[in-house]
Amino acid sequence: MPLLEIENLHASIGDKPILKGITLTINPTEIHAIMGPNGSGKSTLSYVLAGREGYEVTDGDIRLDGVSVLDMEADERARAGLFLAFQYPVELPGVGGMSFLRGAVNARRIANGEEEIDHIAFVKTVREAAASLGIKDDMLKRAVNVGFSGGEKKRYEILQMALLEPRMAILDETDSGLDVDALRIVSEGVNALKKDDMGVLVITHYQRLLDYIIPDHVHILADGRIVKSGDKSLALEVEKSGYGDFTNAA
Amino acid sequence: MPHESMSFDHLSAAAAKRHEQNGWPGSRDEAWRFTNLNEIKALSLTPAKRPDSHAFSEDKNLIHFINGVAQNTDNISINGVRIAPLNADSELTTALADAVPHPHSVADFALAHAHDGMAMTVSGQVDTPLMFRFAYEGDGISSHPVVVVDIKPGSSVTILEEHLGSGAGLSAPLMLYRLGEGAHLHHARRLVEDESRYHLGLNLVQLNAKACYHGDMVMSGGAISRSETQVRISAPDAEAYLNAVYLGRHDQMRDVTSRIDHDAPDGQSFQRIHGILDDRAKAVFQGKVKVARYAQKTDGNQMSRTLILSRQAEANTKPELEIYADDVTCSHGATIGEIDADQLFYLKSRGISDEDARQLLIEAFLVDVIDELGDPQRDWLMAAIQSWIKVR
Ligand SMILES: Nc1ncnc2c1ncn2[C@@H]1O[C@H](COP(=O)(O)OP(=O)(O)O)[C@@H](O)[C@H]1O
Ligand SMILES: [Mg+2]
Repeated sequence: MPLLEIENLHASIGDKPILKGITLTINPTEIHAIMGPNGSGKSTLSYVLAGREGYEVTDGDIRLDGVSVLDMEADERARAGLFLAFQYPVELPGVGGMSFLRGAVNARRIANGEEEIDHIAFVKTVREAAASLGIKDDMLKRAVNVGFSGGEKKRYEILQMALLEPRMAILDETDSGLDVDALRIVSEGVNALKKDDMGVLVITHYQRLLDYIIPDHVHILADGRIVKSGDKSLALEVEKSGYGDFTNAA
Repeated sequence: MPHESMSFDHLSAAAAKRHEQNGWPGSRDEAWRFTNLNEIKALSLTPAKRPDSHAFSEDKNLIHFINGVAQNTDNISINGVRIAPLNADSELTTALADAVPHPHSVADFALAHAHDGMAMTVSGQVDTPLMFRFAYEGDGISSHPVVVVDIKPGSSVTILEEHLGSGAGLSAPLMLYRLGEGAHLHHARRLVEDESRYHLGLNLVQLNAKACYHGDMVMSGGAISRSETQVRISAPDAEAYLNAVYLGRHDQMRDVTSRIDHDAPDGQSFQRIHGILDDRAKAVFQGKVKVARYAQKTDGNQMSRTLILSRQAEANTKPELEIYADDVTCSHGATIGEIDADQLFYLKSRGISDEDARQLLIEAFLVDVIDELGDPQRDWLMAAIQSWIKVR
């Protein structure tokens, strides 16, 4: 069964149509990349998938494991296995990092009928996962995303993904703001998770990330529509000739 | 003008006269613009009678006040703490007469109807926290505890003050905390009366040189609750910290009023007020800092933040800086905001339920002020905050 099915998806913010009929199927273990110019609707797609309020689906459907998620709130979708790594992670002053991570993991576990995670074991798990992503211990003690650099925020997103073990991960411009070293570490983090049957949707503006996270399929988004799909060579083509041709086509 | 020597009866009679003349303030009175007293006026209050049975308490550090009257003062045995009826202590009665601003509707009302007050003297380092538990009851009954605590030079003590009870009555406590040179007071207050009650309190603090007052308050009870704190810094190098959390829901009114008089140089005052309002609750924080001409090098700081959980809730802030000295650092700031939609979505996108996410953000909003609360009163105050949040 397909993992994520996006079918003729139309979505508006307020009265403004942004997504204008997107159809895309992602099977377990597949990596799909969405590329497109600024303003083409990539982040909007990620928010609509994650269930952000204020983004209205006006037509079409989104199914996770065959079940429509349109009536689910963001938290329900997350507990069902959807994960969004934000383009702009949100600062939460006053919310301690550890209790945030534990709250997120426990919410998922309780929904799955599992017991809450053991406190001490969890701290150890987090430390190990953080270390492999180059996240310093002291960052874990701070309030969520507060005082983090751009790159640190992105790593922290991947840490959350590693701990939540989603079925379907959406990475919205996780590469932006990362230097090459960080890009490699983050990509290794994603690839390490991929050994299970997770599906990945990588949203990016540049081809660079796709050297590390190698996509099975590449889609070009322009003005809220997928205007071209292909294999990873499409990414290289875009790199060479830019988005000009595609945006004109849209 | 300092009074020569004053008996409690005399003080009470003078206050009664003033209250008779002035009555309760109306909305045209600037200090009461936001807090409408019509509901309280409509209660046609009868002053509480002196209770005849003495409540028994084993506790050596807990004083019970039933409808304003201290019950078990004989049981209190703590080294360095002396308790007497106020009318038997002419020095502290006179001190109170000098300290109360007049006319002042709350002070005058409390003094007019109080049967007597309690005088407490603290000398030395008192390690056991003292607890004053004010229990109120009865419809249409007003209660008027009057307490004067004199903390001798160099002494220190922690006092936990709790106001609780039920019945559509008015609690009008009048407190004076007098800190001698170098004295320290940790003063924590929980105002947790039932929703049926009304609370109008005046808390006076006098600071001598190098004295330090640390006042923490959680106000979560009562239909209308107003707590006014006036701090007078009358000698150099004194410090005052006022931290308050007010919590309101339904149609409740919360009023946190403060006035800090810096009458001496090198004084510091820090005020941090965080409020949370739900439903149609209203609140006002009005804080006045007055720095006299000779109070140079004063540091006066005031920050108020309000979190609004409902569009119908209403928060007002009225900072007032009145500065006559030229070499001072004074600041104030105020924010009023809702739960941030981006933050809420971020939490929910991690699988955290709407309810839990909101609770996390509410607690996060309070973190700054909670960090300021001293031990051991932090847990005691936190319990009041938690029980309010849980009811949501
Ligand atoms: N909150 C919003 N309100 C109105 N329009 C928006 C909002 N967010 C994004 N848009 C518009 O939607 C379009 C797509 O934006 P976005 O999804 O952020 O693009 P991308 O991520 O591809 O750069 C843009 O035209 C943008 O201006
Ligand atoms: Mg974007």
